[in-house]
Amino acid sequence: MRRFIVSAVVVSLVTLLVAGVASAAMVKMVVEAGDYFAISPSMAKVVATGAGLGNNDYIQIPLRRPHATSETGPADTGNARYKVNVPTAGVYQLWARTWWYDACGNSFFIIVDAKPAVYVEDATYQTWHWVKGPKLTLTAGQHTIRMQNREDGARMDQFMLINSTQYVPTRVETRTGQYVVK
Amino acid sequence: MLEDVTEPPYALAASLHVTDPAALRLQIVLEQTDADNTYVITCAPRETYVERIVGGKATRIGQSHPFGAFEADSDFELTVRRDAWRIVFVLGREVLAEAWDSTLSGGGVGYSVTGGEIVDPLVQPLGDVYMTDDFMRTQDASSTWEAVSGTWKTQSLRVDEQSDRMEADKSANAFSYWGKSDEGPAIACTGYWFWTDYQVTAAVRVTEADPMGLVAYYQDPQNYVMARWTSALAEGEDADLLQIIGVRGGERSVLAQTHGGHIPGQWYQLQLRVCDGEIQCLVDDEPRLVAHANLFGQGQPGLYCEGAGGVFFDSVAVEDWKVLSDEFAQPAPGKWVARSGDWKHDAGTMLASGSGSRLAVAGMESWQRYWVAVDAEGKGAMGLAVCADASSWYGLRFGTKGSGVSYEGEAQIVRVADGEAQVLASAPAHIASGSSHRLKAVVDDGLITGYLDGKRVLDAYDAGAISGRTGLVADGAGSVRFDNVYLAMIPPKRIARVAKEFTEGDEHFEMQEWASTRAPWLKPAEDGGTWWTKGDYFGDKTIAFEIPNIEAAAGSVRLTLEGTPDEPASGITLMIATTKGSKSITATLLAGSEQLGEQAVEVANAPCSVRFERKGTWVVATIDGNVVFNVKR
Repeated sequence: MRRFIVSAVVVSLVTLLVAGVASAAMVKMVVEAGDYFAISPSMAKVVATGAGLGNNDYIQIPLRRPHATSETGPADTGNARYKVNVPTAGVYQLWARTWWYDACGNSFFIIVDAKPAVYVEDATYQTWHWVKGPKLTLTAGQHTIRMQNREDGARMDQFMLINSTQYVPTRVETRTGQYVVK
Repeated sequence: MLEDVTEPPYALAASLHVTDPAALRLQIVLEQTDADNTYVITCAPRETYVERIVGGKATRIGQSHPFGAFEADSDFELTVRRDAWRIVFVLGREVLAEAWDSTLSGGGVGYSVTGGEIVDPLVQPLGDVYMTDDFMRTQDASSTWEAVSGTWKTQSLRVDEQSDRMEADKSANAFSYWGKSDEGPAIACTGYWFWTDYQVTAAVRVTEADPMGLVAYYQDPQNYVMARWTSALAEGEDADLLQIIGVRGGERSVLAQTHGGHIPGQWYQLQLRVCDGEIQCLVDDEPRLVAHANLFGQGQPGLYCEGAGGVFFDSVAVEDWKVLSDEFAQPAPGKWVARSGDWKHDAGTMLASGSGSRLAVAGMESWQRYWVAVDAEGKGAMGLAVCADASSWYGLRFGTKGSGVSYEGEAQIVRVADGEAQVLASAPAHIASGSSHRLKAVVDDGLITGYLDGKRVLDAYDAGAISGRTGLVADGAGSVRFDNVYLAMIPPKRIARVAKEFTEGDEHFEMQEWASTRAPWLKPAEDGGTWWTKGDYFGDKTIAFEIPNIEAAAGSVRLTLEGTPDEPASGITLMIATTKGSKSITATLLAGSEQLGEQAVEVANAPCSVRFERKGTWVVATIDGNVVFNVKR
């Protein structure tokens, strides 16, 4: 359940030999939602200091009035687009740090390169939290990730791609700017 | 040492592969800045212990017991959890050691082992436990639930004779999660393996007279903790019971049970709480069962049912639930830290011997909004400390007759800083020498309330009483014996907002009244009139709002607590007035027509927060984060 592949090094500790590990095998790409290379309405960036965010900002599909009164789908294709340099080919788990308004404002479409849209969603509302998304098979090199409107009232602070199925983000993650092309 | 350093709270998880049981010696270091300053957990065939090493001096802390028996070529999962106060060592799904210490923080994590090897170590950051699910989604949508056994599905509307007349878009709550047993119990889990100290709550409705329940600390189908509830209409030995059960290796052991089963077709709210070996079960917010067992120490929450009739689950919430429960059954060095006086573990109690002012503290400085209670007996004055930090604390103390303290025959709430006690409130309270009493203190955002044997005795408001450790207090001549400490956090306040309607009233006029969050308020007949709440609010209450830009316009607002609409001069009123172009607010406090005070407040922040509160016997007004009025009224 908690298997995690790491390489080992050895250092001395007190009078004992201490086995150690380096996280060379794990690739964790943390992208600030505000670090897009392009954005189109109705997706919008919001600056908010002191709100427990990764970089004092987030993206959102603003709440509409009336909110969620029909089931006809999103009102527009507003989105934020990111270029991510994947260092190693593999299967990556996607996580998104989100804030949902309610059950009718709790998802984003995710479109990787030209692949069919998938989405992230759960039912924890009005608080920032990590949502587990789909697993993505990615080749090494640059990929475009598009976070797109699915429902109004949805916000995103960070997203993460990680080639470990065991690591679970629980708080704001440290941005890994080396993987992001702006 | 592990390469990635993570700030607490975190969990180190790995597998221990044993090659030579006789030579096995596992050591795990936490918060290590150097070899002379670290925590060390040692696990060997006949011993487990935790040490705090400071300046090269090692001190054993906490409580522990050895692992049963190691065998060659065997594997065990291990977890070490560390937050700002606790250290927990779990091996083979058994809590082997617990320690409490805040001396060291912010160092490296590592391990050494002989007679075995550590496989696949992972440092998992920990955070607040929180998830909710109202199951409001289509039946084929993804979810966070994993069906471990039985049949589980998201269910729109009810499955009964009326269901064909229902329409989802006209239902206030058309969705739920439905499970039934196929062979053996049906279990669905959510959350993560490292979750600990939480409460899982669900609305439940059983179709037939089948057992159902909630699961905590789920490891696998053979290992978990559960609250199991059978039906009052069922037959058999275990009918009409509520049970807390530990399932270990597939074997069930009933840890606690009480009579009173559920009625099929009735909705209930069922809640299971787990923290530090304390397990509680509540039905409709009523505590029904308590058990103590240090099983597993962590694991996923889940839903449980038996039988083929099916059970509906809805409005599931999993939230942090932290308590400090200490019966002093065995010594736990480091858990209670003596700040002054002589303290020792004695005959299953904590004993403050000698004389004079004595204080022992426990917990974390970040604790806010909690209540703490203790059994106390002795000849000295006795009490509890709250909001304790390195240099000051607040105390609820009772002057036992014959103890020689200046407050004999009184209860006092005091603030102690640099050894000097400032009395904030006092009230008569008789405690005979050698008698036994239950003391309780509640700290709630500045308000401290004291209880003696279940009766409220006094309260005091001090803006500084916000957060800090708890403590045991003895004073004067004579020893005091403490037992059965219980500390719990106060649940968050419920909010009735004045906000934009979430329902579009023009399209759904029939829902405008009951579905609107404005519904608690009565609109005045004329402009400038008073908005009154529809209902009466009893006990403590807060009106809170923000002024976006106080310089924008001249104006005033009146906030009234405990008023009567037909009597304009009733209640306590806070009047605040702004002046265009000025950052100054004039605040006036009125009791009926009597002016209690007036203050000019310079506002530094935008928006400017305003809070007007009834807190016990106190009325408190806070503007821009500063307490402007605190009046006993």
